[in-house]
Amino acid sequence: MKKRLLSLLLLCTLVFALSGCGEKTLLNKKKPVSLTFWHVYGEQAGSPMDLLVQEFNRTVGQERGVQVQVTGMSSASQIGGYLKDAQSGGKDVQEMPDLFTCHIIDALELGEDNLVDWNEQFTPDELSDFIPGFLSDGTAEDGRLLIFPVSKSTQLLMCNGSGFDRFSAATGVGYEDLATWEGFYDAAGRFYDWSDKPFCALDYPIRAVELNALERGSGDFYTENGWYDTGNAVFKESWMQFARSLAQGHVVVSDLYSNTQVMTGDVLSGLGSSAAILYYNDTVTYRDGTQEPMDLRVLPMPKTAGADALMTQAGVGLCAYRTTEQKAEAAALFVRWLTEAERNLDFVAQTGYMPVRSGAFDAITDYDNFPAPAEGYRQLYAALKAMREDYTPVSEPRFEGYYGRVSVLYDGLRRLQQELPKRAAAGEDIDALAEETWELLCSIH
Amino acid sequence: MPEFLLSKLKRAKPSMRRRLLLYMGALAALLLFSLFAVLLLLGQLKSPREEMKKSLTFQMEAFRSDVTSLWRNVSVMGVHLSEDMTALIEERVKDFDALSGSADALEQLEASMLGPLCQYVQQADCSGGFVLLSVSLNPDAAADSFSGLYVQRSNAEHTTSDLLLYRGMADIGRQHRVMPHRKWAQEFCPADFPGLADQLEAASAPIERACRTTELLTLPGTTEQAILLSVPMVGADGRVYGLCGFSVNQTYFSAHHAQPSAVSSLACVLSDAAEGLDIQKGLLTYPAGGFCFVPDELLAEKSLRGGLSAFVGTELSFVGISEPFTVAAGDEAPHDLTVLIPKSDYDRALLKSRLEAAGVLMLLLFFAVSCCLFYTRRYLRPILRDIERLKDESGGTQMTFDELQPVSARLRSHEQTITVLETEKLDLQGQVEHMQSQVVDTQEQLDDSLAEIRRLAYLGKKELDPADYQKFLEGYAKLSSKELEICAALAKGLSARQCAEQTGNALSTIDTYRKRVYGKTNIHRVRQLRLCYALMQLEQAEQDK
Repeated sequence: MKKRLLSLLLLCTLVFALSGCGEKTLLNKKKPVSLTFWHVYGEQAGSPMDLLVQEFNRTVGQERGVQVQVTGMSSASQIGGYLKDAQSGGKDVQEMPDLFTCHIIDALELGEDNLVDWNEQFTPDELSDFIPGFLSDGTAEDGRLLIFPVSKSTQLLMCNGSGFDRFSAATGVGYEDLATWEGFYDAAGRFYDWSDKPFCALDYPIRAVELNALERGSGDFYTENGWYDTGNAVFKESWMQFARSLAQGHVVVSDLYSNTQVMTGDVLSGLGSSAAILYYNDTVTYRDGTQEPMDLRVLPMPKTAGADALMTQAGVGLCAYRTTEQKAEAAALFVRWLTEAERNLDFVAQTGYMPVRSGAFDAITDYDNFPAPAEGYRQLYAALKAMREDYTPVSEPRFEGYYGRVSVLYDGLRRLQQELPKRAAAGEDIDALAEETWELLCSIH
Repeated sequence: MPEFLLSKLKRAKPSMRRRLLLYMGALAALLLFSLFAVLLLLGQLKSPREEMKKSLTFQMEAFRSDVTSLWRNVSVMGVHLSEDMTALIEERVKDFDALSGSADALEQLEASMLGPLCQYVQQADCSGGFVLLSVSLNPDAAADSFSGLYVQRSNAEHTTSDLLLYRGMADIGRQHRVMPHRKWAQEFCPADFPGLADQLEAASAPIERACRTTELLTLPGTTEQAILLSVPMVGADGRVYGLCGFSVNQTYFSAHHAQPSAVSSLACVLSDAAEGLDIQKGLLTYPAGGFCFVPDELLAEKSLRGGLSAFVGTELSFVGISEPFTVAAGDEAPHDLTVLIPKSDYDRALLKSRLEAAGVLMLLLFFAVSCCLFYTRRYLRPILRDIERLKDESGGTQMTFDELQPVSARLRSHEQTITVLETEKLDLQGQVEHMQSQVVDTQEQLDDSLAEIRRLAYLGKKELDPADYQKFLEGYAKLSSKELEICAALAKGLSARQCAEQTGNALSTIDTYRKRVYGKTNIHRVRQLRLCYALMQLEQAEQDK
């Protein structure tokens, strides 16, 4: 009798427990919840992300009662500032969005407690499908997953093919010469001599210097306060290599985005995010109005000869501002839908990013739905594939205030690059000019 | 028939319960009527469709006001921009046609124009501004392009954002810290800006009346949609230098013209006039903090009751109102303003309204039933109980209503009276029965007497001489009343003594009268008298029959 009672009790417990495991949702189709969304995909131009949001609203969002509204589009470098402004509030400032893309450092500045921990919304099994390195990029020190990976980018060299062909024909420099930093800077010098124009505009020159230094074996060169150890000789040598080229006008720090300088014919190439491919026009337009086809060529980032190559692992992810449990669930629904394998592949393939699911990158090899110019995209993914195979990814620094200091550095370099080439042409010592840029870096704390 | 029913009703005498029900029903109807009348007077009694129409009309007025203000601002600023740019051209350019193909000359002109243009863009309610010159760096007509400047807000949703150079010479932009747009191009290609070439061709003074807007166009290289308002730049000699104006794009419009509304799920659209609604050809904005997903497909417009329109898509439908709106003075065709909400919300509002009405009615019904039950339990039943108690012989001592105590007392008094009367009635009935039995006995005696009379008459006929009987009759007719009385008593067989006792006379008196009777009737013996008397009565009875 006791055994029967015990069995009955256990059965009841099990039934209650299992009924508690049923899917409980806070979403209501009849009362849809709206999520405002700021993103950085396709700033100034529009992107497939907006189309995906439309599709989500039309399908799953409609069925489950979630509506996503894109209320802001900016760049990865600007969105952090806009988010901070929105969080602070005030007149003429937009309200804080429910969902946004940003770097982990921006997320940390917003406050971990103010953000949704995606670990609470996704099961470990679901998360195991994503590339671990991408997940760790968005994870805070206490283990909270604040940035959900949607796409990742790296830096690539994008070249005006038409112009390079003329340059190559005139000087014998080929694309293969751009495989190493040495070859790259040498080609830059030869192009400057040939055309009197900078060869390349770099969007993130400090990152190129960092990777170069690491490849050379500099070791850790970050200080405790999130800047650079100026006593690191290898780091300085890498910097000076870049600085000498900058001082002579062979390369420049891009005025805003390298792609516009390539499109206006001011430079022959741009070293920037793989996602910049979305913005390249089909033609290059020179000052006098003449145009020629862009014939975009995409090459892997140069590496240090004889060293293990490194590539940056960049890119924002999705972050949700913690407001209500219903909105957190709605955000998770959107993110889950957005990162479904096939959809994620389509999205990244049209925006120049890398997919975030394990094994998804290989599928791009056979992908045949690239937007125009398809050849440019094919080259982009060929370069990315080569880098995935030969390069080791390195995450970006995540020190507080780091990107503000980087911005100060770039503004200083932009000022210097206006005068240093003239002084170099006037016969001043190149190393001394380059030393001025180093002093600029050292002056930033 | 109604008269018949009325008269029937008038004649009808309903029970207390029915009468009460009737009066309660009439009272409830009166209360309901009063309630509806008050609600009607206060304007609270409207159909949900009317409410929806009113709400959407109010929203439309707010939207129209906002859009009118926006385009008035842009038009006025456009006219000022045109005047300034025209003055600048006339001041700096001696031979306008010589600008074609001259990069240096155009660069100088654009450099002088960029600063003022940026100031105008920062001040105007717009996402960008442009100056389109009717010259080109490519003098070759086949190139089909126009030089000029087009600056845009970098992130139109942020008011503090920088400006970008969307069209124009890149170096000029960089010098003014107006960086080239990611989809920069040096010149305007008319094919990319539908309508501008036509407006340039039709441009003329006065410029205030020549303000025109384009249809909603997708800015080349981007997915951003915008409406451009252009104003011709006309020189003093009537020469048209080009167009200038401002653009309002989707991002800016939705960010800076969020509508004040209590309805969160609402969309307001400024679109090209067309059959149906296509938001791909319209600028869309929402309430502050609200959103309403509208699919990017053509929504067919259908009329609904109450002046509303339905906008039907393949999967989603909406309800709203639409009206034409002239954006600029020179527009040949108006645009459309549309305010809409999801049909599901509209249906839900109708359902809610109906449920509320049903709920109110149910509440009223419940209230009425409860009142009736309460009234019945607390008032009617005690009255009926008291009435029942009034019927009880012992009632009246525990009455619920004191007002019925006198009635009860009077009733008790009446009951006692009735009891006494009934007792008396019973007594009387007993007496009547007794008397009836006496009557029966008397009748029997009478019958016996008649039988005796008949027997005597029979005997008398045999014994009496007809002449004697005739003499008796003659003498009988002459008898006095007293003598008749004595005669009747003797004829009945009473003795003289008995007659004296019956009449109260002395025996001698009786004897005297007997002698007189005998003498007058010629009777000699009492037996002869009884026979004649019986025979006479028999004859009288037969005559009466």
